[in-house]
Amino acid sequence: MRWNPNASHANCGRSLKAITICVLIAAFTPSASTPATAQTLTNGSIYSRFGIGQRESYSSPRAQAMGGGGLALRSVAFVNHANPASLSDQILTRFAGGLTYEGITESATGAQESRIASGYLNALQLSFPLMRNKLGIGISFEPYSRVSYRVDNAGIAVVDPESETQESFVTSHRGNGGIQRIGTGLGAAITPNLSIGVRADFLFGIVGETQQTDFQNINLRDATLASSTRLRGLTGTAGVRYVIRTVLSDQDVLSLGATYTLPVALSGERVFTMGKGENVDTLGTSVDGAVHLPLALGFGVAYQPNRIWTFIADIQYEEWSAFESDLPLPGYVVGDSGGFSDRVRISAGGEVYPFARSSLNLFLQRVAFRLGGYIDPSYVSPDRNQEIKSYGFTGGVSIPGITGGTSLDMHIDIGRRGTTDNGLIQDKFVRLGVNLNFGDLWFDRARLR
Amino acid sequence: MVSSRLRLLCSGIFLPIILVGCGDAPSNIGLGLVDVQAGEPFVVSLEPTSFETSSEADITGGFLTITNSIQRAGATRFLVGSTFDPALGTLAAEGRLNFVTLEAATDAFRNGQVSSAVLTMDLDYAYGDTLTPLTLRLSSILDDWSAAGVRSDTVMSIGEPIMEIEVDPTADLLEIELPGSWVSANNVLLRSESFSSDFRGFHLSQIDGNVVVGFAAASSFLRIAAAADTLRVDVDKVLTAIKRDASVTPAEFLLLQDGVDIIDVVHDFDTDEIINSSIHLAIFRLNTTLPSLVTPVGYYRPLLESVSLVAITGNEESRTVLDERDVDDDGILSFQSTNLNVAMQNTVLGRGDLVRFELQAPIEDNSLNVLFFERTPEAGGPRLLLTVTEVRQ
Repeated sequence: MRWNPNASHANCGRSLKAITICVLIAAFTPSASTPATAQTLTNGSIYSRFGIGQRESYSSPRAQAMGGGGLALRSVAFVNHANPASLSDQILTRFAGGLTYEGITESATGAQESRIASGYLNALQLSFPLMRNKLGIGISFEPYSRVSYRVDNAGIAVVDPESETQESFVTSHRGNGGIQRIGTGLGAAITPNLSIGVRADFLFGIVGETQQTDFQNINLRDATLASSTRLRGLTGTAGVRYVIRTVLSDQDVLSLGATYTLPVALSGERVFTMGKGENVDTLGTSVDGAVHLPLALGFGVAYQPNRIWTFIADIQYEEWSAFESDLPLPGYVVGDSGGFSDRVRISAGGEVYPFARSSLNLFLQRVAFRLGGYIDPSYVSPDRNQEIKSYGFTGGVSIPGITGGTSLDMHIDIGRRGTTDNGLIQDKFVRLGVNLNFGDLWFDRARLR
Repeated sequence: MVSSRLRLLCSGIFLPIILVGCGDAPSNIGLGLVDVQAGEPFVVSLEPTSFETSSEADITGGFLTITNSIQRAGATRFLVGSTFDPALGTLAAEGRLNFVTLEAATDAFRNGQVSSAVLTMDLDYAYGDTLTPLTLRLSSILDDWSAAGVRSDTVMSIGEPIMEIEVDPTADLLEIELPGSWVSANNVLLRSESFSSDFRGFHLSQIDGNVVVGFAAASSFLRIAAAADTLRVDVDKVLTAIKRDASVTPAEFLLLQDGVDIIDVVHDFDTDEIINSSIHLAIFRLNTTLPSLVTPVGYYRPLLESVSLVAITGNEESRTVLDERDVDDDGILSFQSTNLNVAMQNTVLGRGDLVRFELQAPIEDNSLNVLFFERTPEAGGPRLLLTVTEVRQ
């Protein structure tokens, strides 16, 4: 794990530029039509239709392979944006970003399984130290919620009852968009053991629902009906992390982390439209209203018995039972939040550097393997009597780059969501994530002249 | 070198993810969780709030512009004659026609003397008693007159009578040699460069007979011989004035008579059934009928075969032909077109300013042909069938 950041300075600069361009192109290519949402594909879970979409939790490529969370994680090789207090742990200017492929097998009672797949952006994160390992800043762009579904239904309509003429059609119900979060945080180490941090987040996005009816007969007009809800608002998160050294042995470190996120009232504007492309008509007038997102609390613990092993456990709480919205949402009737329930996400995982003590191969020394799991009940359900839970097992590998501080992190998340009871759907999902984590020395004069 | 490797690495990792993510195999699983978003297509049948003969008469004026090809607007057939239809009352028609300029005239023609003028008219229509001849009066026209968009209830002033013409209603072509006195009197005018502005055409009215005949403007012309040259002068505009006595049509039917009637169809589109809906298909349908009418032997009363559906928008200024259809073998008239679909979609979205529909005979082939419509919904009166998807906001 030893490396000299100055030695590879020149190459790193070029590499960072290349990676940044590459990731940005890759990240925005599938979202060219609506860059504001950064995700346009509509082949995700049907459960993402409800509320403001499926909650997304992404902190770092490292934590993602350990079940998520990581509120107490500390490392100079990965910046932990989940807890702004962790932004104090920085030596290098760091850029991280990645994409996820998600394959879902949907099943329902009495129906054939359906397989769908989508790809989307995990996050784009940039951070740099103001004072090495004491004060750091982070900027991140990541999804807060995601709406991505598509259900097609073929049908036959009698279009002329007198002649009993029938025409076949396909109705495609689609949802896309979600809420994005772009924020900047500041973390400071008050003492060698205590760090605190704050982060301001601008939440914005468009939640769209579309019903498109296409007739086989070209003499019939196809129809595209859509509702689009534009949301935006500001929130803030405060975080703290406390490190206790030599708990059970001389080498071990126990870290405790906690975060508190303020509730936020997103201002919303909803419009209904008909048509597509240049021939879009707005139906009626737009409807304005506020969507109140609840407060969130998080608590995490990380234990490192030595430099080989790291274990984490996290619990994140969001008070969705207090959710309010002036705009009706799928699963929510204005004034009645009975369909919403508090979200308590629990996760745990571990990381190991199995070759950390190998003196033969510097590359292998920095290869890490990760495992984890989580349970994540949804805050909203199509059926008030049936909670929709997600369970998942995660794993991953971190492959170090040629230059120090750089890694390619891959993770897999295999799990289930929902149930086939009560006419609902069960998703079996596999997510494969690829993340680039790149560190470079910026804003620092070379010491040798 | 490092950058190249990284680019290759990025391409190798991200592009497959994007491409695989674009995989598309949607199904209907989960349909029960989305069907509240909007409904399935269904048919709404709207009956008109008014289905009556318009106070406006049919358009019978028209003109032909002959350049590289013949361009037409409005009626291209003019009618003349009078007949007593025992079912519909007396129908009287007077027609007029005028001619294009003499641009093709040679110097010899312009400097010579007109020796003869022959009016050729292509008789291609008859309504009434075709067994007895028709006597017409050919007159000059003194005033300038317009044909574009002029309706059949126009009042015509005529000039001096030129001659009388005996017409066999079953003939195809009439060749009428104009009297020498008229030719002499108009010798200069018929050779003049200002012929088109100074000569105002001929007026035709009935003296005797029990039939109305029609002439095709495109194949009617005036042949003028001067010196050694003969010049054919084509018709450039026509107009027919038609009068019909009070119709005695049975009240349960609505008569559409070409050249005379236009039918107004008014709907109330401000109804919850369709407001803001998506229109997939619009069909406007009417049942025609053939009531038993008194028809003497040898009396010819042609039926109207085609009808146009016209949208009247704005301040009655904009007229758009949405569709033109033939009556089918079952006597049903069914309009269905992209223009009708778009017009209905615009209307339910509160734009387009559709005031009403009009039913009228195609203007070009002007005639007195008739069509009877059922009025009541039970008997197949007019109905607008709209296939819609309801928007649930």
